[in-house]
Amino acid sequence: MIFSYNWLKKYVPDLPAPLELEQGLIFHAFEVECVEERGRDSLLDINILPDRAHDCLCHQGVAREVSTIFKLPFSEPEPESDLALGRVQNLEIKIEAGTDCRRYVGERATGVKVGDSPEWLAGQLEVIGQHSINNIVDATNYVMFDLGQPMHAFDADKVEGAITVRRAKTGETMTTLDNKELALDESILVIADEKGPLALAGIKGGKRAEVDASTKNLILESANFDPVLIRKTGAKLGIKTDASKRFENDLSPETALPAMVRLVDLLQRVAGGEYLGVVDVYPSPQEEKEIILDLDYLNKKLGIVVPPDEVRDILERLEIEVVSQDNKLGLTIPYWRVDLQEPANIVEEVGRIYGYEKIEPKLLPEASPLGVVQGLASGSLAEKRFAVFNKIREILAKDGFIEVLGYALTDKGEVELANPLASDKAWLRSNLSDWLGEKINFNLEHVLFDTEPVKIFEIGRVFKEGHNEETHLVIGIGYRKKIKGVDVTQELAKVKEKISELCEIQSRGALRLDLAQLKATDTIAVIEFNLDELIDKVQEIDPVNLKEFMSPAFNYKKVSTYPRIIRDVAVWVPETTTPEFVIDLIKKSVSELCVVGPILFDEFAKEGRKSLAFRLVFQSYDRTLSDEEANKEMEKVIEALERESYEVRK
Amino acid sequence: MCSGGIVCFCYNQEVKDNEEKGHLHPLNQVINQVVGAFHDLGFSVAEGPEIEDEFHNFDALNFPADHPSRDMQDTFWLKPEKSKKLLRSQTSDVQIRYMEEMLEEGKEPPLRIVVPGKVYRQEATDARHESQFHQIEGLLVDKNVSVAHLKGYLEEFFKSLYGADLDIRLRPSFFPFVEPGFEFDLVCIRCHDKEGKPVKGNQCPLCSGTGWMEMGGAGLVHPNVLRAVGLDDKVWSGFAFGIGVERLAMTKWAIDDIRFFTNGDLRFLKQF
Repeated sequence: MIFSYNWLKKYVPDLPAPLELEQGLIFHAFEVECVEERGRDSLLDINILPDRAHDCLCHQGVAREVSTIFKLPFSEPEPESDLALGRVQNLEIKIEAGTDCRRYVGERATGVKVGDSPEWLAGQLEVIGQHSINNIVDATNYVMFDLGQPMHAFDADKVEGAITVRRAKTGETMTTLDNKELALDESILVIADEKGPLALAGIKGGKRAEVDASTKNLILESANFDPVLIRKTGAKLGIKTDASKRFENDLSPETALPAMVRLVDLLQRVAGGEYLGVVDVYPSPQEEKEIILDLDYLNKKLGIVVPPDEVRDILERLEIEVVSQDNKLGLTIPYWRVDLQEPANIVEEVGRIYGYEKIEPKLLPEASPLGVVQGLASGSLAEKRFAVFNKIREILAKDGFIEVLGYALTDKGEVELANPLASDKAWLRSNLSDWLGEKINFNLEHVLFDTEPVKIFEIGRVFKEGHNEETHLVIGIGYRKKIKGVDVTQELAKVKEKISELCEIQSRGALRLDLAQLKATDTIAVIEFNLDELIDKVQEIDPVNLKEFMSPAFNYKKVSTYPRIIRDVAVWVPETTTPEFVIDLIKKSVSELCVVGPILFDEFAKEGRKSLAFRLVFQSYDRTLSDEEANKEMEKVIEALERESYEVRK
Repeated sequence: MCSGGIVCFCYNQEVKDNEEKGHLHPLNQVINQVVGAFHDLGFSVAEGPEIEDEFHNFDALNFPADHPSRDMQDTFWLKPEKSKKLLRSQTSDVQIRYMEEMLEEGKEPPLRIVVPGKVYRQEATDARHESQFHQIEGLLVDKNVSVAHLKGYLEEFFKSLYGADLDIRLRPSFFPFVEPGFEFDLVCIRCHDKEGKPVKGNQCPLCSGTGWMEMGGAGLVHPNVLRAVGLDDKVWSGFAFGIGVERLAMTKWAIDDIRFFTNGDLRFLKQF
């Protein structure tokens, strides 16, 4: 939520500067996404997570945190007038729906003037990203962003009979303030009058009793609804509002009355009128929460000893009442902190305010558990799988295979998603071969020579009918063209044999082709195994050693998305000249547009001299290269070669 | 740019075009390094299914039903919807599975596990977000486990991973299955002084000049989680943490787009 610095300052007059405030919040309360100046104000985008959304999706809540963190006085604005509590003429409120509505505070106002908000009010809302509508609606919104309590105003002259909180009846309809026609049913809680629904309780107002320019008399609502019901209704109707968000996070019903006091006070100033008094229907008031905190427990959890006076001071700054007895503290929790339910919650409160940076790192006495598992037989199945999969990675990488990781979400399979992101990602893959085959073809487009194979593998889960999953290994080899003397199926068979060797001697050969699925053409072969079945057959493996395949840190090189241009150059050099020397020469002559090579691909000697042929790849990171640009690069190469008096073969 | 640190990084190294050599996927390299470091600290590997039920992914992890905390993890649900099966949104489900199995076998803590695995979130993909990614979960349950221990083991882990004493720091955060809950940051592996303290103000792509890198979430195991599997929370306590594998890899190699990991492009994968 976006918070206004100036608004927070109303509660904490000595508020620290915005950046200091940000740091205090980050290390003691909430993540702050950003701080930015806006006119004479500053805005803080504070990430209020669900554990504190019931009390901190409002300026008062965050101001309380700031006052606690920085040990600064917190001051509540005094209302300018008192509310009259009791029976009010022309206002009857009935809660029919048992526990759905935990409290309903209603107020009747007469003779209000609807119009534009004063500049300060419209400006204060606009600064936090809310549009000004009129003085009445703005006042209700202001109170919500101030105290966290959603408020609603009905045009009293459009309401007939008692305000009733009840479940809707199937067949009833309602038009929302933004003109959406909704079909209602018994799962939905509404605010209704004799004629029918007026509002979706806790979510959105209705059109029928909307406040407009001609409104004179109001019924004001400050209510509290069951959080789960509001969440389910919001999800069912696909409507999320600032109000429903606050209710579904379990706002305290105690807030309803002070919020009404604040609203009436504000309306008197911005819309005038007479306020007849409130009706407060509150069948079972929130009970006071008490927690016993053992100081030893607190210190054991934090791993340091927080001085008892400091603990007490922190708790009192959080407006928790503290009574100490020996090593225990009896705590009475303020009504707005509905998240504080047990001692573990208090550990977090004391820890974060005291400062986690004061906790020195420690290790456990090393007597405790386990130790690293030596050998497969003594370890868990998961350890065994981890080791065997790594052994397979080692075998394949040593054989020149490159590991890929594919995408589990695809366009066909046996298990379907109920809420996919896109139709081509609506299924879980049922095999690894399909994607691997595609990737062989994709990578063959980028090889430089027909004799250069693409050799890749993947270990990953596949998903089968009945929500079953298996771990598979897929290995593939592909060439761009059929190469004489190369049989891709034979090559794979050799690899398969190496993996079969992992299995214990007597079951060697158990890894038959029916355990593995082979798909092959002249140029591409892909084989897929069920590793779950293989694991059972493995007894012992040599230690895994992946060291040679671990990369140090470096800045990776981006792959260009623009087309490449391939050029070859062949040159006659003296027999004593090494290819490395020529490669170096060519490298120095070209610009950074040469992304691969020169790669030596042909070498033969004839009549006392040597022919060397090189391949170079030119590519740009920001545009499609033209032939001319490649030609220019090649001219530089030829020039460099001829400077050495080599004969470039043309 | 950055001050020279204890950790030696050879950022000028040229990528070799060795066509014969095989390669391990960069994410599995990171997973192996992390698991190796935790092996040294007495943690053993555990795993769990990617298709998960509501109990293990949410209920037992103290995400109440119909509670906004479930919105923190946009979840993929499977058909038929009445099966209530989902793709796990975190590896924390294995905390529950591991403890359940342990108790079923009549064993008790202490325990230390590390759980590498794939997780799924129903969120649109861009350079920083993927709907499938990898996490490494850690769980330690013992007697008298404190925040000080969490800090201690995380520091030891990073020491083992990077070969240097680097500071970590905790910031308050919220995950339903831990209390207190934190985000933890590591001193930038490029921008730090000889004592492993952060150096601010560099134009460093890893830490944006803050001197700290966000590494993951952590906390003390919530008493409700221990209760959910039937452990007495008055006797046992523990800590848990989760580390994003992609984030570690992107940090290590300055990779700026998470989607490269799953595009199967050998021009990318051959660099590692």
